Amino acid sequence: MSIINYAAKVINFKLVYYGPGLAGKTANLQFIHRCLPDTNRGKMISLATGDDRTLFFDFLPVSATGVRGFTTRFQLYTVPGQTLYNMTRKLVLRGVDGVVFVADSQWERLRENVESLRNLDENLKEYGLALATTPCVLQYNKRDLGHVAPLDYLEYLLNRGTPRVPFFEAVAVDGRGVFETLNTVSRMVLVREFGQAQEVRT
Amino acid sequence: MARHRTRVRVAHWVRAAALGAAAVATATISFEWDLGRDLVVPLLLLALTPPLAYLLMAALVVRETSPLRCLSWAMAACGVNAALGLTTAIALSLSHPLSLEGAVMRAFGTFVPAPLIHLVTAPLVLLALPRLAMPPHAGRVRASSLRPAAAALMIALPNYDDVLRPPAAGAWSPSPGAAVFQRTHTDDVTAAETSAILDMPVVVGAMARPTLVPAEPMVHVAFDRLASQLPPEVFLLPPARLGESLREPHALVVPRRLVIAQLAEGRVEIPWTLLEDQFPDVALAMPRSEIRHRFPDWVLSLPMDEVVSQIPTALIRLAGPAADLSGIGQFPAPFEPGPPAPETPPEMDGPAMALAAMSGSPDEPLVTLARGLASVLAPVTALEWQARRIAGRPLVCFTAPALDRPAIEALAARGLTLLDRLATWSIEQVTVRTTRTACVMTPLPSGGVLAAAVHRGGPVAMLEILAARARGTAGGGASAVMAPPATLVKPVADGHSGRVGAAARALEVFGTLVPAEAAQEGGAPAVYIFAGRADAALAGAARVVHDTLVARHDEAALGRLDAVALRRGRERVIVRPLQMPAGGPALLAAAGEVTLAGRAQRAAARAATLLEAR
Repeated sequence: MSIINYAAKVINFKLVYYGPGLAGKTANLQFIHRCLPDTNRGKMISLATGDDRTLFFDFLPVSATGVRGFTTRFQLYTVPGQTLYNMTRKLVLRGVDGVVFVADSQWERLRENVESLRNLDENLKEYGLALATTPCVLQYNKRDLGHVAPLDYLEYLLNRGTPRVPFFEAVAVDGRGVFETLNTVSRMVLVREFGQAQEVRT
Repeated sequence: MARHRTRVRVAHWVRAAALGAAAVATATISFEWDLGRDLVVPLLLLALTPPLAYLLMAALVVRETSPLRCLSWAMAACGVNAALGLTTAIALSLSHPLSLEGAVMRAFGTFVPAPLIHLVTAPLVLLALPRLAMPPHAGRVRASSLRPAAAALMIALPNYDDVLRPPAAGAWSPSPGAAVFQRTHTDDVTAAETSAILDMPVVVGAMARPTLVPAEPMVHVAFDRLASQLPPEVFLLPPARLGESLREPHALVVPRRLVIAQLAEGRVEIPWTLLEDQFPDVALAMPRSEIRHRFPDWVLSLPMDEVVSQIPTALIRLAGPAADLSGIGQFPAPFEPGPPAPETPPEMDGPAMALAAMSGSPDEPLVTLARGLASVLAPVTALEWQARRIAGRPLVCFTAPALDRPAIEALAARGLTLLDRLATWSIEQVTVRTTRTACVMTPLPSGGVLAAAVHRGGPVAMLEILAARARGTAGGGASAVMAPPATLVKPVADGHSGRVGAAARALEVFGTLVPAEAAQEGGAPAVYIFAGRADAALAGAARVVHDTLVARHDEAALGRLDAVALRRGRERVIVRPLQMPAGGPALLAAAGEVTLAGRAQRAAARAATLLEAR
């Protein structure tokens, strides 16, 4: 749910990068952080759990275009992918405006993708939300690796809703597909918030 | 391989013969000792009992097969029983003054314990021979009847490996002589076939057997990719030979409908019970019923790449409408990415007193060096890196995101100074632990230092290993080599008692220690030394650690300094600052060959507490 500060003319949206562990959620945020000008980005915060690889969550505030006189700010979050951190994932999903599901394209990670997507659906339901009605984009990451599943099958596996959601192939560490994903989910959030055919000021 | 099979067969026959011999010996000895001579049983009952008992046993034990097979098994048991009786008769006639006729009468009837022993032993002998214990599966019986030509060929050209290979035709064979399992070509699938496949009954369950549909499409999976999932205790053959002995050599075959039912799960698991028929009996180390009993939920996960490549694309192509993105065209792309910027150098607003000599932006060789190090440290995620030069020597810092990066860089610079001053010691690694962070500093071959910092409780051991791997083989090419200052060291008088003695006992993980002490002099701190001998160089090194790291530590940014660990091969030196009651600066320095670094750290902390006690 967006938060509007009328005094400061700022609207805050919350985007959550969801997906199984090691799928590349943090890599997305890191690339975004590196590519945006200082004026458009805040400080990226990563909270480590002490585990070898898992983060509590990442947080990166970025500001974007103005809409109807308001400055839009997107707060980008990632969730810890590992199964045992479901409470953290639930917490991060609270008040979410848009979701990017980062899937690992490797064959051996397909099962984790399916479980993570189901987990996302369940956690959204706890807040009275549904995948079908929440702006959502699928990102098939790690497409540069050799041992990856074909797009047809990934779509069959993860994008079976009606209607299907937009999807992008990505190599997050190199930045391929990262901004396409971010821009699409951001615009879907804006459409949902402001409706179509609104006056837009860049 | 042939030798292995021969050994297995010989072992089975030896086991059966031993059982029979034991039965004969038991009967003969019983007769010798007059055991059970008083028992009287009607001869008719003795004659009818074995066939009836064996028929009943066959019906119970091998009920999965045809009545004919049960009957033949019972007859085989009767034959073994008769053979045991004859052998016992011969043994009795040889060991006692009996005619052979009289011995036969006793072995088969008048000496009742003998036929009873034979009755029990005969099925055991059969069970000792696996090929006879369990009749072949009905499908295999049919298959063997379809193979006369192959049998003739085997006679003409003996190939004993084929003995292990069951006939190619299986329960799913459409007709004899035809190719049984055809690889599916995705283009051949018509819409009608697609719908027929999807309508087929799906059977997936731990003990369920599939409803076999003639000529149904199959999925072939290379056995090599499943071999690692097979418990070795279940099979007599090694995996390579097991693959050869499958019904379809080197492949397992699964009905496609079973696969399709699970495709949406991202994995396909097939219960063992649906695959066991493809393994020959002789390859199994135990009866199939026992395998099912021992591994009731055993499933094999099929490699998805092989599976999906054999599924027609028509079956996994989605028919739903694509995402409607027409509305978003009303809004311009909110984010315009610039070129990925290199990591900006941190601000110099901290207590970075040692960074004054750092040059400006990283040069290309330095960036290349840093990227190479980053690839080695990749298993530790979310580390940001910065690279600088100090007096021409590289300083590459990897920092966990929320840590104070300038303070870490300053610490790394101080670490470089420490490594310079202890260059004669050939320090391989320095690990600084504070209440908030742990920083691993490793000298680089080019004379610089690699520093990697994580939060307290982070993967320090992994960092140490990876950083050591990144370091390469050369030592740190220090620019200003100085030996640790000479220090007067004397053994502690109460080295085996009092606080120092207690501390030495707490440090036993370092080995046998001789407590020594270097007194405070001038501004130099007192040093409590725990090493194999009173080591003046160790005391000097501890004071260098104090001068470079402890005295100049930035507690506000990094937290209180707990310990500094120096690593030289298998030896570790742990230096801890002490808060002594007297108030003067003091250090604990413990050295020894340590394999459990974490335990050594805890021991040093305990020893420090003991020394600080009033």
